[in-house]
Amino acid sequence: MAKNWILGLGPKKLARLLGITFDSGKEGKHDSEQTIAQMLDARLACPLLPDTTALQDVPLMTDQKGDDVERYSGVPLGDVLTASKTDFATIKEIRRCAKKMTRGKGPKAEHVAVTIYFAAIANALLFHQAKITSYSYGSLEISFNKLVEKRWMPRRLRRLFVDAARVCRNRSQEIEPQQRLLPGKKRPTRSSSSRQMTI
Amino acid sequence: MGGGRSVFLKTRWSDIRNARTSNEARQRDVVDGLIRSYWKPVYCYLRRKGHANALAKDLTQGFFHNVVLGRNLFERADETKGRFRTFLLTALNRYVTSAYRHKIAEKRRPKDGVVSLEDFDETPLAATAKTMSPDDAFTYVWASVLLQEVLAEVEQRCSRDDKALHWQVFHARILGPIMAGAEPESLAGLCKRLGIENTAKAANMIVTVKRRFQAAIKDRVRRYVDSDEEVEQEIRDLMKILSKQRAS
Repeated sequence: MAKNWILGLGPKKLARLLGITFDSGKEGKHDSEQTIAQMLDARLACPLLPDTTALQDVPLMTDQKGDDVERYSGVPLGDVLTASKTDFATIKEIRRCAKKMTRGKGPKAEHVAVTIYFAAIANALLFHQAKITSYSYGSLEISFNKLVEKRWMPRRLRRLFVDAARVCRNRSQEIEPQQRLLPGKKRPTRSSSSRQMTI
Repeated sequence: MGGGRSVFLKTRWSDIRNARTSNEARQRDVVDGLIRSYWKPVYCYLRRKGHANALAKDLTQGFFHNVVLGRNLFERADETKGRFRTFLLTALNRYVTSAYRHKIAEKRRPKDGVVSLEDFDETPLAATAKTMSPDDAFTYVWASVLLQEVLAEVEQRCSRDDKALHWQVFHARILGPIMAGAEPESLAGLCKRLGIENTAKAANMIVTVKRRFQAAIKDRVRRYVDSDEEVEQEIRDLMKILSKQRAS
């Protein structure tokens, strides 16, 4: 009987039980989240390869084989994405390849690719003080915060996104007052042909 | 007690209004229901205030007998003056002070008591609530009672409607893992173990019970608030209060 189970249960567990009230009803969501977590873990643990002909679906580096990228050959992608010393060219290349990966591989693979794409952007913002995307700081902050909320997100990427979201918030606060002072100047917008990354 | 917009338990005014009905049987049902929901929170509140087990039991019995029933506390409650919980705890604190002064806790108490405290094992609750303030302990115990009642009702209805297997799947996949703090078994594994044809069927069974749980809890919480719109907010507020507690 439920009666005997509940008394003495910790308050956080009670809160989770109450949370069933807001479950969408889609069962299997947990399995799906677990799969994404496993796929992402696998990819982050994979070494960065300068040539992907042997492993088509594994990491990135499809075109560029320069010294910058070679230097990281064999280093797990997760380490490259979260390290402050990863060079800028490699980060840009990861972002470019991750964007290509988002197409036509199914929704779970897309989650993985989008995560890597934004992790590269976050690394560039945090460690190279550069914005390597045409997304506005405000829009990036929203995307980073959405990623932070994903239950399948590994802790180290979550930390990266939290820090990057903070940088974006500060930058957008710095920029917006300046834009208000220039009434004739239009805000930069994304070109309509560019593909929106959905999270 | 913390909480944002409206602390949970802020009112039970719809029940209180029903308690004022002229229909005596209905009135008795409502008062019994109120006592059933509140005696454990009241008792645990008194224990967290530092009263010994036996005295806390006497005070709880005395409060419900002398004040709630004897002085028709629910009839005197005034919803324009704030939350029902505050009203109840204020009356309780007054009673305790007065009981100490006049040693009246045991006076005029029926032999069997108003509530069945003698069989109540406080050990599991006391262990979890020992770091909480008396107010938070009250809320925590109240939430435990609410969930106990809801889950017992859902289980009973599943059994009555020939859906015992549905309940079993729901328990294995949702309740058990939450209570044990463990990963849920995969749907495929569950199907194999319980002899269910496929994962889609198992998923549908879980959704069925989940919907029953949602309906049952909303129905109960609806009694404490003034509108349907407030139900979900009340549950979220309660979750927020519970999540802030240190014990897990």
